[in-house]
Amino acid sequence: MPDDRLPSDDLADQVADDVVDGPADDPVADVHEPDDGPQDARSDEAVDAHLPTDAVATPVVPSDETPGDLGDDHVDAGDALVVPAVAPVDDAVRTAPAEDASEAGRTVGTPEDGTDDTLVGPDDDEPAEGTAQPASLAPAPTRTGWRALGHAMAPRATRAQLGAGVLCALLGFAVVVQVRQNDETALAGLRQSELVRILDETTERSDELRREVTELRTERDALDSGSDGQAAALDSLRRSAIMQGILSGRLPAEGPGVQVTLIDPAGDLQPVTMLNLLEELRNAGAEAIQLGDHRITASSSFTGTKGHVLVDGVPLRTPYVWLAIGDPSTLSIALQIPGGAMATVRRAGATGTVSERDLVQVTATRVLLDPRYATPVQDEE
Amino acid sequence: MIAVIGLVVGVVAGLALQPTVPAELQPYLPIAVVAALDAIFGGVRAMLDGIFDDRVFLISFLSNVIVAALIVFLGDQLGVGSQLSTAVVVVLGIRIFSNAASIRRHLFKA
Repeated sequence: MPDDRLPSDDLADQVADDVVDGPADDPVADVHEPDDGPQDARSDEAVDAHLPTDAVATPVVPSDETPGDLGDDHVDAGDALVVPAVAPVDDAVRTAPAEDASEAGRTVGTPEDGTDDTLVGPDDDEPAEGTAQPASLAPAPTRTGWRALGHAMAPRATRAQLGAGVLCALLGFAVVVQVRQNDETALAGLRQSELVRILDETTERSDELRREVTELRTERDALDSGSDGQAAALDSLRRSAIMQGILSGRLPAEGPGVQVTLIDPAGDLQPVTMLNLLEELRNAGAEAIQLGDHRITASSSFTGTKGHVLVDGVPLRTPYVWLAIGDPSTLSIALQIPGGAMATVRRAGATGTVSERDLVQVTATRVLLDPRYATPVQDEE
Repeated sequence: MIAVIGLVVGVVAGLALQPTVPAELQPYLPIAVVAALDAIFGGVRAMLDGIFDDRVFLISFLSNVIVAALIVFLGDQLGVGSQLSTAVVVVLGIRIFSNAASIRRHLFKA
């Protein structure tokens, strides 16, 4: 006890000096002290080093102890290089602990103490790295730090440990709850302004998508109508091809019309007579014409001599049978006009009959050759 | 040790019970957790300093949590809730760092 007493008195003096100097000076005092003060401090520590557990254990219950024990605490805490810090804390704990807690919200103690240490901190670092002098101080506090930690970790059913355990349990519980909450409901924890912003963004996005839907629908309609137009064009082309096929003699045809039979046993008919009759049929609107087995088209020709008529270079034989599709009465009347085609036939010495039919079948076809020289005129558009 | 056991017990209880936070408390829980973390670090540091006091620890823990939540609540009422909670987190973060630096200095002397 006398060993403890002596340094405690020394330190009490130091503390008193520090307190007189004021808290603002503490950092400076703390930094400069290693030059002269810690010589004592280290010698104290050398004494205390044999009682490590006591040294750490006593600070845990400073407020409930007698002032004499607190003096011991001062000595032990002094080893941890917090000589100036002890006095204010001690005072605060004894005199106004509630104020202490509400002010700093920190278990270390008074605000002066807090600033004190934070100010000391960087100053501590620099010399430790730069100069050798503070490094000589290093080993003792290191042991103290780990010892303190190890001692605190030792399970003991003190009030402090239990309280800390309960609070840590509370913290762990809250952390887990918060993390889970954060995971599951991102929206529920948001503030009103953030929700409004998210709603705005969502609305904007949905508008954008709606516009896109409209554009795509328009495009699809355009494509649909385009394919409709294509089908219509194809249909028109198909009909056009049929019409052209009938007119050019490529396709067989049937419909109402007339059948003209010319009997010329004497061979009096000339090619020009046949040509006249064909022209008369065309004038009357015949759409498909067949003579014998020959389809008569725009490129058909009548050649030969009297009584020996060639159509497209093929000889014809009596009786000559014309089949023409068109309006039967018009065709019939056109052929039998006085001085017309039939009159010419009769005048040449042959006989002929015209009979109107409801159904005339023009079955002969021509094979068309692709034009060798003529090409379609390109459309300007 | 008891503190670590308590932490583990709290985590396990949170995982097991899977409680839902009431909607009114949702903005304040994260701030309260950070404030409690600050108190824990402060407590560890005080322990290493040899000046740990369970009463101070308990009071500082609770007052930290309550004050932090109150500040955020007040901020919400004033319409600056998010900014104020950011400020609280920054301040508490700085304190946690300085406490952690002190603890580190005690343990590793570096």
